[in-house]
Amino acid sequence: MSSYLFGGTPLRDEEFKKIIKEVMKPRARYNMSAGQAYSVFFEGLRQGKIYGTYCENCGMVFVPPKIYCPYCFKSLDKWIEVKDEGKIVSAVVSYYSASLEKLEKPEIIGIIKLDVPGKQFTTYRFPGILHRLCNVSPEEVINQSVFDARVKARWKPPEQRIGDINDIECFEVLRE
Amino acid sequence: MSDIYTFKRITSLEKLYRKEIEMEINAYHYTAGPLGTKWLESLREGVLKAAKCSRCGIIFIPPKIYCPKCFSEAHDLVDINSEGYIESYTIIYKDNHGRRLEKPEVIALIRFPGVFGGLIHRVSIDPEEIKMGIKVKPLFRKERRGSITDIEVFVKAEY
Repeated sequence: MSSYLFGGTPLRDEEFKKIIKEVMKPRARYNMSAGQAYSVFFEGLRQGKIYGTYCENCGMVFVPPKIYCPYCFKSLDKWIEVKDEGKIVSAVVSYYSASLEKLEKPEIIGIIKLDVPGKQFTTYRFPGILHRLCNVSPEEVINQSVFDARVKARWKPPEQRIGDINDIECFEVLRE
Repeated sequence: MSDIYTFKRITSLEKLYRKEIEMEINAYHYTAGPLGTKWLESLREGVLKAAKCSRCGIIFIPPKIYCPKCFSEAHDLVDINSEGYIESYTIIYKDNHGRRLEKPEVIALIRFPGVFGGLIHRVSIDPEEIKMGIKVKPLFRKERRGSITDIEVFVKAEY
């Protein structure tokens, strides 16, 4: 009984299932403004374009857009159109949804480095986007053969776009 | 080389994008702890109990594993006379959203003779009739699941 003094009573999974519990499901809904930069970004997505902000001082392009350059502390108001093509930098296979339910089909998420004509970026600082990858199998991610593959955005039809990141359905790997 | 654009600053609220996001929370599961679970089990059986301190012997409600008087551990529950009296009360006219209730509700602090502490619960007495000192007893639900709401309401004790 002295275990009381040292914080908590450990329960095994089956004990936790049986014990009396109060269950509370909160409804946590946020309603937030996208702000100056993201509003332009979403409006661009609705038109099928990916816009990023451009720092004249260091030449860096930011996708998703920032209104301040985190390297030069300059205010950014110049925009540049980024291609909807790029290269997979990293990818991950997710077997569970965000609410911890097992997914029927594992979802593959990738970090995509987007192309900007006439500009070169390092692997650490680049305009990029985090999005679903289609036509990729989990094995290709696990053995890392899909890394560095060329991808292109698959857009929703223009009438279904609402100005959201999901206006891009997913990124498709370009295979010959 | 790509073109460089300058967009006008957005000044109208209609042009600003707004996002509604629902946080992905499934549910919170709370347990009542070692003594609280025993107490809720006794409520499920339809008995109101109180905790007893193993050192100073004080009986208190709601049960906690630490005695509120001497801070030593309490391990046991004891039967109490479930007929209590109203120590204090409040009348509620509006619900959580500020809408007027059809029928005002009465919430009271109920104490039990010889028991330290008390329970706050609903009382089914008219707001006109309620006063301090009225004797009440718990009315248990028919279907109980081990919760404080297994006591549906406190009703006037008959003489």
